[in-house]
Amino acid sequence: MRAEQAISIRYFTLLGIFVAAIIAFTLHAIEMPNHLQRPEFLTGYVMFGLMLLVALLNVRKKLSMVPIGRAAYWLAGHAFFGVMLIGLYFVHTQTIWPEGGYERAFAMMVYLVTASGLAGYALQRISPRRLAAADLEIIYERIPAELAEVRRKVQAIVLESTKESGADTLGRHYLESLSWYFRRPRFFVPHLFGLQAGQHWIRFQVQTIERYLSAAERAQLTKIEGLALYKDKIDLHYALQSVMKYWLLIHVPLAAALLALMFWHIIAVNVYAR
Amino acid sequence: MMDPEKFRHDSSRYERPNLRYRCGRGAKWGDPCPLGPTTKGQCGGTSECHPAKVGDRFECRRPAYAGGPCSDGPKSDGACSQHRPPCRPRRTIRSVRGILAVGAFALVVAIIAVFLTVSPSSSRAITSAGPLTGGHANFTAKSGCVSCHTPHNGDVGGWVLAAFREDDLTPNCLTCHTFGGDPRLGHNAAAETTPRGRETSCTECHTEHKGESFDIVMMPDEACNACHKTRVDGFSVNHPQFGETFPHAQRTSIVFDHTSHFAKHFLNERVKDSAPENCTTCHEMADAVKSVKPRNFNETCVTCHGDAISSRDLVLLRLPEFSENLLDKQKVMGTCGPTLDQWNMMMEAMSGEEGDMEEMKSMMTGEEEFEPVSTEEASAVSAYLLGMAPDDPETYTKPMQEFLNRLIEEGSAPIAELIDQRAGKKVSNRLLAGLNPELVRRVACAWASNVEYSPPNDPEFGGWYGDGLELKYRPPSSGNHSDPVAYEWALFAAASQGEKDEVLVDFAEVMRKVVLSRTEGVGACTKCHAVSDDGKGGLEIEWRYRETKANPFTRFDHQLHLTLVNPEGVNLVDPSAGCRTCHTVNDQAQYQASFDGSDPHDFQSNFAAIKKETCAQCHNRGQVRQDCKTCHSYHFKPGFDLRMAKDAK
Repeated sequence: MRAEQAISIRYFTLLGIFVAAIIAFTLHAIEMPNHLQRPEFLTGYVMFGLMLLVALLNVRKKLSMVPIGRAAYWLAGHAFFGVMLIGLYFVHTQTIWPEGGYERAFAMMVYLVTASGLAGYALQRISPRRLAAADLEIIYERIPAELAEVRRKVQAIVLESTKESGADTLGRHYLESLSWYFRRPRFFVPHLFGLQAGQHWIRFQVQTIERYLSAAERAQLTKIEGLALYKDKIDLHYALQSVMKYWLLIHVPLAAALLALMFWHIIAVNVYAR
Repeated sequence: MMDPEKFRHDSSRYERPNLRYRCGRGAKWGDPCPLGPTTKGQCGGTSECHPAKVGDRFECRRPAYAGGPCSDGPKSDGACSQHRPPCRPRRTIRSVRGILAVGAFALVVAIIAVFLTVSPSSSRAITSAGPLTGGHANFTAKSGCVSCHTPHNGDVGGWVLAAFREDDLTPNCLTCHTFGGDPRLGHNAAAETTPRGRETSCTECHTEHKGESFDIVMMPDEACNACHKTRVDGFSVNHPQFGETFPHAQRTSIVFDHTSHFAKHFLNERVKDSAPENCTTCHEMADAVKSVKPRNFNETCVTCHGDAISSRDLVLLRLPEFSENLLDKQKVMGTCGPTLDQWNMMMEAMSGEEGDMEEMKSMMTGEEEFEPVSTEEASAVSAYLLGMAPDDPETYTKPMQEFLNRLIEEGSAPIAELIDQRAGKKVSNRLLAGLNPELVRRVACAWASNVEYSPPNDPEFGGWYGDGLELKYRPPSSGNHSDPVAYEWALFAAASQGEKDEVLVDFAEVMRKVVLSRTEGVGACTKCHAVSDDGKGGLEIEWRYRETKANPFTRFDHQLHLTLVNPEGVNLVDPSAGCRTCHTVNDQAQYQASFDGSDPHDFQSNFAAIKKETCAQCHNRGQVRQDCKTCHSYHFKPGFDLRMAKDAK
C-alpha cells in the first residue's frame, strides 16, 4: 500500500510539474504579442508536441509489457493534456471559431475530438461504477458464450418441464416470447440510461404465463426467471461495456484525421507564414 | 455473482481481444467455437481440435472447457472426427478502430491532395488561413496569394526550401505601402529624436487572414510598452507630463499677438465694433483637425489692417550725396535736355546779358563749384545691387554717376541686369514688374542734372514712382493682400541670405534688414509673416499658415473637442470657457520678441502649455478611452503607392 502511495505521489508530482509548466507557458504566450513577439509558432509547436504525447496512449496500450507507467496514469495524462490542448488552442488561434475553410475544418475537428474524448472519459468514469453495482463480472468478449450457455440452460429447463408435465404451455411460451429475449442482448438503450425495462419485461412474461402452469411447471418457470434476471445483468454489462469500447470508434478516427490536418497545417504555416 | 471458478484457465477459453478476428458464431450470439478464427480471418472451428500424434497414435486434444477428449477420437489420418460447418469470422472492435483511424488519416491526406491539384481556387482554399481584410482582398485579387507569399507558385523544391527559411513579408507590403521614413525602424525613425531601435517587420503588429472586417491596425498599449522605456499603463495613470511648451513646438508662421489683441486692441473704442466675437470668428472650424487654421486676411485682419500693405514703400534707388560731379554735363543735357533752371538761364543768355552768358558757359562746362542736391545715403537696395558702401561718397560717387549715365541711356535695364546678377537667375521681370523705363530715365536725368525729380502727380494708386531723391515702389491700395512685386522683393531679400560674395555679404544684410523689416519693410509683409530659418542655411518667409510638424505621432481632433466647449457660443473674453478651457493666454509671454530673430524655435507662445491634467479631466479610467492609440499613431506619413491601384484593375 505504501509503495502504491509513493508511486501515486510521484506521478501526481510529475503531473503537477507539467500543469505548472503549461500554465506558465500559456501565460507567457498570452503576453508575447504585447512584446511584439508572435506566439503562434511557439504555441503551435507545443500543441504539436502535446498532441503526439496524448497520441502515445495508444502506443502505450499496445506495449503493455513495457514498464512505462501504469495505464491508468497514462489515461489520466491523456485526458488532462487533451483538455489543456483546448486551452492552448484558444491561445494559439485567439478565437473560438477561426476564419478560413481549412482552419474551420481544423477547429471543428479539434472540438469533435475533445468532445468525444470528454464524453468517453465520462463514460469510463461512470460506467465501471454502475457495472460494479450490478453484482456480476464478465469480460466483454465472453458475453456471447455466456448468453449461449444461459440459452442452453433455459431450453433444457423447458424441455424437462415439457417431459415431466406433459404440457406444452411453457414450451410454447418460450417459443413465442422468451426465445426472443434469450436470443441476444436486449434492452440496450434502457440499460444505458439505468432503466429497468428488462426486469419489467421478465416479470410481465412470468406473470402472464404463471396462472396457466401447474405447480411443477411453476417451479421450472422460477428457474427460467432466475436465468432471465441473470441475463439482464449480462445485458447491462453488454450495453455499458459496448459504449465504453465503441466511443473509441469515433474518438480515435477523429484524432487520426486531426493529426493529418495538423501535419498539413504545420507545412502550410512554415511555407506561408514563417 | 458469477462463479469465479467458471473462468479458470482450464475451464474457459483464453480470450484474445487484440486479435483482428473473432468467431462468427459468437458474433451472432451463438456459442463460439473453441479454436476460433485464424489470424487471416478464416474460420478455424470446422473441427473441434487439432489431434496430436503420440507415438504411432493420434490423441484427441479437445480442451477441457469444450468437453475434453471426445469419445470418437481422431481419425486414422490424424484429422478430428468432430466436424462443424464453417462460420464467417468478424473483425474485432480493435481491428475496426484501427481501420477507421488509418482510413480517416488517409481520407484527410487524399482530400488535401485533391484540393491542391484540382484548381488554383481549391489550392487557395486549402492553404489560406482565412479571408483577407477588405482592402487587401481587393488589391491582391489579380495576383492572388503570390502578391505576398512568394513560394505559393513555386515547385515542391521551393516549398521545402520555404518551409525552412524565414520569409519576411515586409518587402511585399512595401510594394503598396509607403512611409515618411524607414518602414523597418521604430516609428519609421521619422523624427531626429526617435530612437532607431531594432528592426521590425510588418507582421509583428499586423495580422492578416482574420476576416474581411478584422481590425488589422489594432495595437494594444502593451505593444507600445515593449519598446518605450517609460511604461504607461493608462493616460491618467502614469503618462508623463507634457512638455513645457506643449503643444507649441515653434513659433507660429503668422505673427498675431493674441495677448495684445485681447487685452488692448479689441477693447479699443475705435475698432471695438469690428473686433471678433469669439475664436471661431477668425479660426476656421470646418476642417479643424490637429490645427485650427485662421481664416484668410481678407476675412479677418483686413478690417483694421487693410491699409497697412500700401503704406510701406520700397526705396529702390536714392540719390546719394556726391563728393564731386564727374558727369559730362553737355552729354547729360544733350540726352536729357535742359532742366528748368538751365532753360531759364539759356533764355536769359539769349537775351544778351553778358554775365548770364558766362554763367551759362560755366554751368555747361561744369566749371562752377559743385553743390550736391542730396545729402542722403544711397538706398540699401542700390548699395547691395551696386556693391558699394551707401555712406562713403568718396567710393560710390564715380560708380553711382556711371550708373546714372547708364540709366539715362538704357532706362531700367541696368537695374534689371544687376538684380538678375545678384539673384543668379532671371527674376528682374517680376521684381520690376510695372516699372516704366522712361520713369527711370527721367529720374536719372534729374539726378544727373543735380536736381530733385518732380513727379507729374501723386502716386495715390501705388506702383513705381519717382519722388525727389528716390525711386520707389508702393503696393497699390487696391485691397489686394498678395501684392506680387512686394512678394518678389521679400523673396529676393530672403534669398540674399545665401550671398557668397564676401564684399556683398554686409550690403545684403543691410538690404535684408530694410526690405524684411517688420516695421518698415515693403508692403508690411513681414509684419505678419514670420521670417524663419529654412533649416538649410537660408531664410524662409512663412507666407502660408503652417500646420505643426511637431509631435508627428500625436494626433488631436479639434473638431471632436470643439463640440464640447462650444466656442461659437462663448464670448471671446471669457477666460474659462470655449477654446480657452484648454488654451490659456499667457500674459507674461514675450510673444513679439519671438519674431526678432529667425530661429523659429526660440520663442514664447501667447498661450501657456497645455497640461496633462486638462486632458485627464475626461480621458480617465472609467470615462473616455485613454489607450495609447487614442492620441498616438505609430507610422510616420503612411501612404500608398500608385502601382497598387493599377494592379487592382
